[in-house]
Parts: sequence; structure tokens; C-alpha cells
Amino acid sequence: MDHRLDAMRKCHPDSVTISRITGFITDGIIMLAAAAYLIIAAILGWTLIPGWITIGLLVLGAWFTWAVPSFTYKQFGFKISEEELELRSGWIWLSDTLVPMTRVQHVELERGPLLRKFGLAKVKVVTAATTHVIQALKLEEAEELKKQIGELAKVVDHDE
Amino acid sequence: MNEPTRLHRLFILFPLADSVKSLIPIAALVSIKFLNGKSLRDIPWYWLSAAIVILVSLLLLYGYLKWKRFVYTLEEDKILIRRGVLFREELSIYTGRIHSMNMEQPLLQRLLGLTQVRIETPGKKEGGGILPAVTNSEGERLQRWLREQTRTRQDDIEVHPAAEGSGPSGQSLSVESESLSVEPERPSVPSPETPEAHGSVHHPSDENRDFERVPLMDSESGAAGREKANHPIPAEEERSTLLQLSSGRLLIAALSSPNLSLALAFVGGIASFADDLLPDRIYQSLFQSAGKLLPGSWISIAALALIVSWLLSAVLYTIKYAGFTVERFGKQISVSCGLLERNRLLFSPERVLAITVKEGVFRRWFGYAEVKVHVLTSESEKHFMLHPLLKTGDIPALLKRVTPQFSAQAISASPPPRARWMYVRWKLAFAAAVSAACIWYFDRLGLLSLLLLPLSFAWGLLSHRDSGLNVTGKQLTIRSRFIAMSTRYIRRPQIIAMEVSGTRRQRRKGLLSLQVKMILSEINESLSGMEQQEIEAVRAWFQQKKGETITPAGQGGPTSSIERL
Repeated sequence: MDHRLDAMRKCHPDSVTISRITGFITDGIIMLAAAAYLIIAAILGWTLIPGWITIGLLVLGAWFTWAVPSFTYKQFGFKISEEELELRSGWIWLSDTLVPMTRVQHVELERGPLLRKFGLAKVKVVTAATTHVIQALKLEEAEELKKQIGELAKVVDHDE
Repeated sequence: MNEPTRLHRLFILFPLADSVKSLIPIAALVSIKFLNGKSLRDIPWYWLSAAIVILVSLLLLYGYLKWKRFVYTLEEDKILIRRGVLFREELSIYTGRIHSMNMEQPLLQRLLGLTQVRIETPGKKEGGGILPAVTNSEGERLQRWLREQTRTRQDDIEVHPAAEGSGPSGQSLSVESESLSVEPERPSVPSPETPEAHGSVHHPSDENRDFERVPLMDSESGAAGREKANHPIPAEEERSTLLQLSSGRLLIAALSSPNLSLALAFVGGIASFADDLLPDRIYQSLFQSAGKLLPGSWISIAALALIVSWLLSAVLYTIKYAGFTVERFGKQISVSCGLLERNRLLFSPERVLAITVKEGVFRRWFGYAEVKVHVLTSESEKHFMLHPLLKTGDIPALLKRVTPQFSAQAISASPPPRARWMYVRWKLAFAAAVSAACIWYFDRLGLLSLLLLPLSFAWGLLSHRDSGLNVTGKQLTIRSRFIAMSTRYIRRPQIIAMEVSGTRRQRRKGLLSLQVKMILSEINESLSGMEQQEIEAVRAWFQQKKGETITPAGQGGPTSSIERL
């Protein structure tokens, strides 16, 4: 459709599954809390409305939890050049971010239990003020990216 | 010069004064309760006074010990502070690490005619280098000492005529020589005769820390200071007053900047305070007599409250900015103001992140504006006034004098008419929600709130009309309007990241929004609904410098970047 993401690198497709699982786990926890509230409220005779509202919203939200990760995955792309890191992301608001390499402070790899299971890693590029996240890459790819950005970020800025 | 020095004797009073200060609110509460009739008569007066005498003498003793133990020594390359009554502390601050030495006068010091010296070092250690009470002349001696220290070291490093000649000639070079003086103690600094050596001072990993470097006292030993090393000039001549605010100007500034939210909060606070503390009888009779009033008098009461809060905010403003003075100390700019607490802030012009010109609704009518400077310091206040009230026409001259790298550009591109709805929609939605709530709550009377709709529509149109941007040289200018109109000048080296966004529909219409991320998130700027080409031009401008300057970066970042100098 549009050519925003041509020539951009993408996340690993498994990131969709991972975000869905994380989303459903969070939903499940909230659901449990709402159920606990309903039980306690029924025993103590409080109003039941907040519990039902929460559960209703969660049921409606299940669609979002399912669909949004694939939207964001499709709209996400990044590109690294010697001078800058370019990120495209978004779902409704599509945004293109530009981070000069000279502004990058450090790169972090993060691997939660889920990411480990899939053999993936999350890359965080940190500047003095912002953090830019690449959700999921193959571990080797992420390591390589980390090294690459680390090298490129050494360049000194002389735009005074 | 090397003998240990004590603080001023009056420092003995400090613990006492501090505890009195912290007791004032409690004392006020107690005395009001007392007036209300709940007396303290059960406690005999002699017990009470004995307790007070003992407490006071204990605090004085503590103060004496504290004063006795607080010793500082100026040594060859550092200042040594020893202090602590129970827990002894020894603090060595090396002059090479000192960013600046600030003279402050909090209320107590101001009453006693003393000065508090704050020695700023990188990192945010609490209460690190603070000398709470010294005389003004001692403070000046300390500053002179620091200047001499940095200057001698400067001489050690820069003995070559090459840099001397090029120093004062250009902005970029003087900035560079400043970064030399930033870390003069760096042992690996060779003489910057060759460009290679110059560049190697910019250690790669230092570059980002560069943002964190706070105003530097040292920096005055840059281009300007170096000349002085040859033919010393008395330190006093380095000071020159750039501007001072007359009391008439200050009054106008105070009256034309109604800080209504603050004043209303204050009035609200007083009301709840009265509710708690006024004797119930009085409060109720007040309340009842208020209930009998006619609507007309309600309106006049509201008007009165508005005027009172306006005057109140003017008073607060005057207290904050009384005696507003901007001075130049060597290469640094100092802004000092305050009636009760005299604050002085020092910054070097090169470290300014951004400048904001704000034109309030009233002030715009008369062609006045306030100018604020955003600097990264370890102080809590990072945005300070450069001028509270200035004729709009005088702004370029002010910027030229204080921060020559910025210029007061007018905007050259505005959002196109088809972007109007982007400015209007949220305001309209908000107004609609408010008036829906009003109608639901007040019924017939709530229909009046429908007036909010056209008002918010006009507001949106205004902010659409006044937004815009400009790119000139290395400077990006963004103008926007919330209620007051604010113009912000940002330079490319200080921009951390840039984000361009738009929904699919906006993109189809050729509209894009821009967000500029700075190191202080408070001064992030954004502009929505601009013409696509304009935003793409800004983006290209942000990228472009590399195209101009960077040759393929290769492996040895620093070395390859030097050729560009």
C-alpha cells in the first residue's frame, strides 16, 4: 500500500505472538482481580458494578489485545546508517523518528522469559533524553546490532 | 592562603534559626487554638520557659560545635572541607572538577548579611560543597582563588601562540577552547597545536556527557581568560552589568503577568484554612450573611476575589523578581533576583539549550514579551528568566548581546488552512464535554455553557493562525500558542531526536506533525498540521549536517572527525 517501510528492517515475526501472550497475561491478571472483587463484594454486600464493568471492558478489549500487535508489527521498521537510526512505528498515528548516532548514549539488550523462550531479544537504544525500543530481534541479530550501533555512536559531533 | 578558615561566627545561630523556622507553622496553629479559647493553662509557665531556655541553649551549643568543627582550607589544587559534630566528614573538591562557584543568599543569610557559597561539581551529591555562611568579601576571595587556580592551569596547558591567535576569532573555536578548559586536569591533553590534538580532547564517550556539563566558572578562562593571563587585569573589571530592571518596569511586569492559577490556589487555601481555624461562630455567621446576598453582590464578590488574587500574584511576582540583574562575569552570564531569597544563577552562553519568548495576551497588546533561557544545571530551576518584560523589538539585540548563537527569527511557514480542524477538534471536543456536563448538572442554566463552543472554536483558529516554524542556519524556530504565544529558538546541536508523525488520513492530505526532543523533556517542542514539504525540509535539515561534514566515519571516530576542523 504505502512505501513507508520499503528498505526498512523489521522485527522478528514472533514478536506478534509474544506481545499477544503478554497482553493476554495482563488481561488475565486484571480479570482475576475483577473476579476476586466480585466475590468479595458479593460476600460483603458492596456494589457489583465496577467488577462487571471491568470484565465487560476486558472482553471487548480482547479483540484489541489480539489485533493491535499485528498492526504495530506491520507498521514498524528501522534502519541504521552511519549517521543515524531511523525508526518508523505507530498504529493510528504513524511516526518516523530520527536519532543521530552522535546522540546515542548506550544500547541495551533485554530478554524476558518469553523472549528467551523464542530465542529473541529486545533492543533499547538510549539517548540522553529518550529511549527507542526495537521490540524483538533474533539474538544474534540483536547482538550484532548492538555492536554496530556502539561503533557508530563513537563518532563525535562537531555541529557546534 | 593555606591556613584553615572557619565560617562566620553567626553560623552558630543557624541550627537555632532552622528549628525556629520549622516550628513556625506549628506555633501559628497553637497560637490560633490559644485564641480560640483552648488554652495551655494546664502547663505552668515556669516549666514552659525552662523548657524553652534549655532547648535554645542546647541548639546554641550544637551550633557552636558545628561552627567549631566546620573548617575549610584552600590548598594547591583543591578545597578541603572538614565538618561534622558526631559524624566527622572530610571533603576534598579538586578545582579541576569544579563547574562553578555560586553565591546564594537564602532568607536567613540575607537577614544576617552573609552569603552561602555553593561549589558545583558534576553529579548530584546532596549538600556537597556548601559553605553556608561566609562574609561577602570572603566569598569574593574564594571566587578569585578559583579563577586564579583555573587560570594558572590554563597557562600550563596553552603555551602555544597558534591557538591564541585563533581563539577569539570565531564562535566555534571559542567553544572548542572552552571544552579544553572543562577538563583541564585530563592528563592526556597535549598541546592543541595540531588539529589532531584538538580533536582528541573530545573523547567519544564524553560527547554525550557534554550535555550534562553545567555552567562552568572555568570556562571564562577560555578565549577571554587567556588574554588576561598575559597582562593581568583586576578581577573586578570582568564584571559588567548587562541589564537591570527598574522598579517601574518590574511593577508593570508583575501586573501584566497574572498567575491566576497560583492566586486561586492561594485563595482556596485561605478559605479552607479559615474553615479549619476560624472559630465556628464567626465562620457560620460569615457564611449565613453571604447566603443572604443578592446575585449582583455575588458577582461583585467574584470580581473582588479576582482583583485580589491578581494583586496577590503581582506581589508574589515582585518578591520573586525584585532587583532583577543580569551581569557578565568573564564569559559567564549571571542572573540574580529575589527580595526575600536572593538567587543567583550562572551559566555560560554556549550551554544554553533553548530560548523561549513568551508573549502573554495582555503584553502582546502593548508589544512586550518575556524571555526565558533553558539551561541544564543541577539546580532545580532549569528555566530562568533572561528578561521579564522587554519590548518585542528589543529581543534581537538582547539575544545578540547575551547568547550570540541564537537569533530572533520570525517564522516563515505556517500550517495551511486545511489543517485548521487539527487545531480545533480537541478544543471543541473538550468544550462539548464540559458543556454536556454542565447541562446535565445545572439543567436550564447549563445551556449557557454552550457559549464555550464558539469560544473554543475561536481559540483553535487563533492557535492555528499563530503557529509556525522557521529554519535558519543551525537554528530552528517554532512558534505556538496555547493561551500566551510562545516562540522557541532551538539549535541543532542540542536536538536529541526528531519525530515526524501523522495519521494515514493526514498523510493523504499532505499534513505532518513534528516533534523535537530535547534533553529536558519540558522543552520538547511540537507543531502539528504542517505542510508535508515543510516538515520534510526540517527533517532534511536535521540530517543534513552529516552530509556536509562527516566523511565516512570508519573505525577511529575521533581521528577521522578531526579533518573536518
